[in-house]
Amino acid sequence: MRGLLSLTDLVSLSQLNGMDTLALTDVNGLWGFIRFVQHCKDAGIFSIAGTNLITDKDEAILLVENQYGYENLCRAVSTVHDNPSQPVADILRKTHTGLFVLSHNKNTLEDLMDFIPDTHLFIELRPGVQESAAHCLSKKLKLEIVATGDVYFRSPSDYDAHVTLRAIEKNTTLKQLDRSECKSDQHWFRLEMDMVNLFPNSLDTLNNSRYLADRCKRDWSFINTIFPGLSLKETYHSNKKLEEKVYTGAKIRYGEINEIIRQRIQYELSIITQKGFSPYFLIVQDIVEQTRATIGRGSAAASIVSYCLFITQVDPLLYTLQFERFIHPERENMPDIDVDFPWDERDNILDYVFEKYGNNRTAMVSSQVLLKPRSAIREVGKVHGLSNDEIKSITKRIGWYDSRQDLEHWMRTDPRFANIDLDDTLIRVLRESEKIVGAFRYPSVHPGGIVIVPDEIRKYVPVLVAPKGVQIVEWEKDQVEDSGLLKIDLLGNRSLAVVRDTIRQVNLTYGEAASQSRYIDYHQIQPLGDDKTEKLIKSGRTMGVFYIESPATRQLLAKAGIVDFEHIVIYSSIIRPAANRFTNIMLSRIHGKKWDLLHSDLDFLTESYGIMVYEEQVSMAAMVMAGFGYAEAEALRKTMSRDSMQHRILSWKKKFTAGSLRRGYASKIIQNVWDMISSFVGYSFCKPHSASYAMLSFTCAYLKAHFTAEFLAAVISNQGGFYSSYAYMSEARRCGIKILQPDVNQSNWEWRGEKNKIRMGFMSIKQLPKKTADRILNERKAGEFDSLNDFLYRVDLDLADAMVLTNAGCFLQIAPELTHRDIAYHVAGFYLHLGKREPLMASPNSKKLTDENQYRMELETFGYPLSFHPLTVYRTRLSRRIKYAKDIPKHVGQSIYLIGIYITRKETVTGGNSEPMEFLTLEDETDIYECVLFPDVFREFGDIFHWETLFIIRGVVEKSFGVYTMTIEKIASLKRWINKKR
Amino acid sequence: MIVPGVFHIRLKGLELQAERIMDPSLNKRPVAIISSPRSNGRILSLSSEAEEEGLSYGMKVSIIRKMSHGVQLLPYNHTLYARVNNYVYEAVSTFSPVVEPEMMGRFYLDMNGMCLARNHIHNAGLSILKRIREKTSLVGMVGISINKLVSRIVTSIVPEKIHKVQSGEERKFLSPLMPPVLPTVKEKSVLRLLQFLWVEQVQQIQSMADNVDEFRTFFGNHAVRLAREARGKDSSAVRPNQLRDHIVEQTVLPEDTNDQTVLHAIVKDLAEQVAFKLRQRRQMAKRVWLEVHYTDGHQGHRVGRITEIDDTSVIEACRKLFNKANGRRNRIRTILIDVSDFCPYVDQKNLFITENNRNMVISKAVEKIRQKYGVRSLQTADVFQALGRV
Repeated sequence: MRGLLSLTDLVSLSQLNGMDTLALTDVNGLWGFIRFVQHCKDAGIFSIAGTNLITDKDEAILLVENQYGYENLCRAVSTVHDNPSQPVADILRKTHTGLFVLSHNKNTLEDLMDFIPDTHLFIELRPGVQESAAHCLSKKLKLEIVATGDVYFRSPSDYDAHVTLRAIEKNTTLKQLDRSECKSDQHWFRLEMDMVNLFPNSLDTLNNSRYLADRCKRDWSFINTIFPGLSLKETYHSNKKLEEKVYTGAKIRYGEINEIIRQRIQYELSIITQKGFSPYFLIVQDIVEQTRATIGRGSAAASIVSYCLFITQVDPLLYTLQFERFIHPERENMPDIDVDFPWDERDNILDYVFEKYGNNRTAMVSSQVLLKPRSAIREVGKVHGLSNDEIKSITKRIGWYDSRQDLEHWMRTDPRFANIDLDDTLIRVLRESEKIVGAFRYPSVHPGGIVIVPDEIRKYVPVLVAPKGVQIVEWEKDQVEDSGLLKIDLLGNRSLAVVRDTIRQVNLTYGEAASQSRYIDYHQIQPLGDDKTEKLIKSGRTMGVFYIESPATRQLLAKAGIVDFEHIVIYSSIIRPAANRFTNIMLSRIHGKKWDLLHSDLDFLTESYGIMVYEEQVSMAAMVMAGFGYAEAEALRKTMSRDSMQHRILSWKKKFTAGSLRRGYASKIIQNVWDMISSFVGYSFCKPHSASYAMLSFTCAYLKAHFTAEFLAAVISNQGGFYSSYAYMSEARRCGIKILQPDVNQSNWEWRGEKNKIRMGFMSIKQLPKKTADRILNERKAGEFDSLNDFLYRVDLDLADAMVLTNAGCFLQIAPELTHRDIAYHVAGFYLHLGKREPLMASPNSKKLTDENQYRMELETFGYPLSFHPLTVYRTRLSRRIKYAKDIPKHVGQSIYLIGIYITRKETVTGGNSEPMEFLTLEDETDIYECVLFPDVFREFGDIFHWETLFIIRGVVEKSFGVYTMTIEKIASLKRWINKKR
Repeated sequence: MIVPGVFHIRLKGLELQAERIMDPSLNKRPVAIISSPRSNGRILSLSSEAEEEGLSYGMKVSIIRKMSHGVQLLPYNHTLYARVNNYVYEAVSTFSPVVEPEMMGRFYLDMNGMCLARNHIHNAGLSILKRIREKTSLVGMVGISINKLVSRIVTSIVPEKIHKVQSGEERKFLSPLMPPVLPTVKEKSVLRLLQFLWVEQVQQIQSMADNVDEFRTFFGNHAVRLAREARGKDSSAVRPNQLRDHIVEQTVLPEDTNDQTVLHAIVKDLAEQVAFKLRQRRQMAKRVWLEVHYTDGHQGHRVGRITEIDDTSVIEACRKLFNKANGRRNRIRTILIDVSDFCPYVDQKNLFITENNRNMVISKAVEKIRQKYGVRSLQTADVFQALGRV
């Protein structure tokens, strides 16, 4: 939280001004080193590794002379992360070999002179240091002076933004910020001439910086993969062990191993052993063995070896997945194997890995959190004293992934911000935010990336301990991958937990019957070809089903009508923001519109209706049309999918176009193919990955179709789905399932489904701590509670918890003779009775709660109403002109009125001139329905979604491929509308 | 039977009424009093016509300008409102020697023994309103009962100009009202319990309170007070101003800010005024209450004491309190200093000049100039700059 210059800006500035060497000296770290080297290589600039080591006592600049120096630099930085209160000299005493050290502080230099030779120790002349003082020090200590730029921002005008950044980090206001925490306004990017002007009497020191740069290590390459085991002996034994395990697994997977299977296994094993990847597979297999419900994702799903090791769950032979997408004979770098675990088991898996390989060899990958527009505005707003409400009024209109930098202009021109009041303070906040967007905020822990090295991790990359207590490397996943470190992604997946919990509950519900059936085990569920499952998917009723539950995907499924495994694989790949228009083309082709391949050479697109949907199709198109080699085509694919490489897209386009033209393809075809390639920007998937996920989608759909209550209860319990608990509860009701209130005798912590009813869990009660629920559940083991008094005497709670349980209706079953008021009076009396714990008499007022009070209480207790649909209270006050959602199909082409409660929404932009529009999902008492607000309507009414959840709409019913949507003409707040009518 | 003798006078929207008196063309027009005419300013008081236009308390000036061009926005004129309030005080003081100002535009009058001379309580109320109207042209309302609590509740909920609750009728008057009218219900624990028990009217509290032991079990330390309030009992006396004895200094910032320089200068300005009043009284204070109000409605406060009454010492004491009270980064709207619990200040003669002596001498010298040329005639640079800036 100090520097403002991005790596791209820094390198391009240097290139523009003819600089041939650049040293990156991040404060206490090598946070962006790998990316820095890549940018420098692209710009033809030599890169020097270094750091500005700042401890609580003093500071120094370290520059790397050779590979030993690099390793020592990583160790030194890690030491500062461990304990920032020690002097630089103490840190460097054992780790100075191969490092050049620069300091402007006399005491530090004197301490360092004890053990660093004068060939490696220099006086630093940086902006803010007096030339004469540096020269005096030089004479006294007999050390040479080296001038440095000590750059923190581009120009003096950026100084205020630097101060703001410091205020953000120190959690204070601008006026309260201790100015010693900031640099002076001198630390801007200077050209050689500016440096001469700054230090006119020290030209030799400027030359020294050139001489020193030439002595630093500048030939960085990261072609070697760093495996967990490196020795030949280890690899030899691993090869043998892997072969044994694969054949054992193949017998379980296939029963009989025929020639085709054997050939595929042998082919894969030969490449794996040839490249020395066996130890890696064995490590992943060992980790996967720790739990049952896992799913291998990514390109690894194309491997039969992974399948036989139970790392992945899709048979690559059955679904013709090409092993070369995973490991290609020409591929230099190591492919990752990513494995998903149930989200609540993942931490145990990580503990196992750390325990097995030790902290010395293992660390998690970090996530470098950068300031995005949303977070930048929030932080700068706080510095300027804006209240949370004021900040939220802006940030809630900005998407999490929006990356625009022209914030002020954006807010003045975009209709989404039309109602924002841009006063002087806010304008200042926006202007300062613009400058700090992209700045590094803090490192956090990547959800699942883990690095294992053969010896000492601190010699490869600096490590630190995250607030969560886990050791992390400084680099994020892309830098880790590019540096050659071996990364394994162990990610948490909620749907795996849903599947696990559903199966567990099904076994409990159906007892004996279940134990003899085929759905008892995760690996034995066979959802493909099941009629009920296909019918469910075809109807688009897939709320809760992994990966195909978003409104857009549900509509796609319903529109397409074909929902076999191969098509689901295609749908899960094509649903991505940049591929919208191709989705519609595909739909029309599925429904029989005639089509031809763009070119007969692109026959690999036949399986996906002539449209590019998988990542490997990008590489294949590049190889076929532009004549790229494997490595080059892979590089193009990576460029499209990585945010950090977007600046290279244009050069790839030129290269692709030139290559294709050279090979005789028509310009129009080239343009069309490139359009499809560009739809992969942001994120995209390879076919094996989609196949893996589609298998889990089918498993979930199967469970929903056959065990709806058990499944939806598990979805709600595991949280984190696409929709809110309320939306899933409504879905359950639409499926004819009864929702039962929490109950002290029947409920568990989680929601539990049983045949045609779902019992709400204690977790649904806001403000009820888990430990209270545990106390109830523990006591219940001794027998159910037979009365309210029995409960009160047996469970040791405090009044606050008892109040929450009362309001949730947990005692209604054990005290059926009492009204809610009676129970409340009874409970309060018990806990307040001067510690005697004797219940008092009944309430003076035993009347039942009115519907309105009941509604209010449920809203406060659960966050949503339970006894009534939220719209019921309003329906009676509305005219009959307002239709029900279930009747939408009767009004195709007509403009009708509907009311609805907010379920979800998605803002997007139109294809042509990028105007904002919105897809909206609403629900009334009878059904859920989809709406669309085109730009002109969105401009007029879009702001309403920031403050209202109950709506009245007027819209035209449209029908497309058999699916109904409402094109909204007008939308208003239901409550206001009714008040106005009254 | 005791005759109801405690009057509560309430002048709703005093600020607005004062503005309308000064400029009669504002009558019946939508008007809002704002903290500052700049876009950051907010509504502090507004007319019903302005409310009909969709404006509300706390709304930002820039939004008002976007929403409604017909609303007249007036900056907060503290001097005018204080002056008008003083006229009202003087007007009501003629009816009773025992007048207690509650806050701006609200007064308690103890009319016990006075009403007989004026024949009828109701007439007395009318006379008071008439006098206020004659003296200030302001419209007020009167609540009459045997105690302060009920009289105040009367003016807060009854729309009539004069309403009297007969002695012994307090319980009946309060019973249909909602519990939050009782001051003790504002206690978090009491409110939470009442909500849990679905107590929706004061009469339910009254019937619960009939069972004393049980009531005490439920409401603990608050039980006695709550039971008394629910029955309309209040034994606190109407205390004339001099017996209440507080020095209150407050600044509503025209523009909310978290700029420490400005805020410290405002605290300094307030502290100087407090110090001046303390020196006039030759008293020091055992209790200083400093309160800050943030833009988002949060408040912070700290309590301390003043042992020296020269400007420097008082400023230092207040600044320390402010730094402790201001624990957030949010912008501040109001700073208030309330000084009470006074005791005599003995200025012991020192043989040698000490720092305190010197400060006191300077303070007195500054005071002389200010008395002669006005409070704002002499200001330190930081206060001048800060006040200029806000």
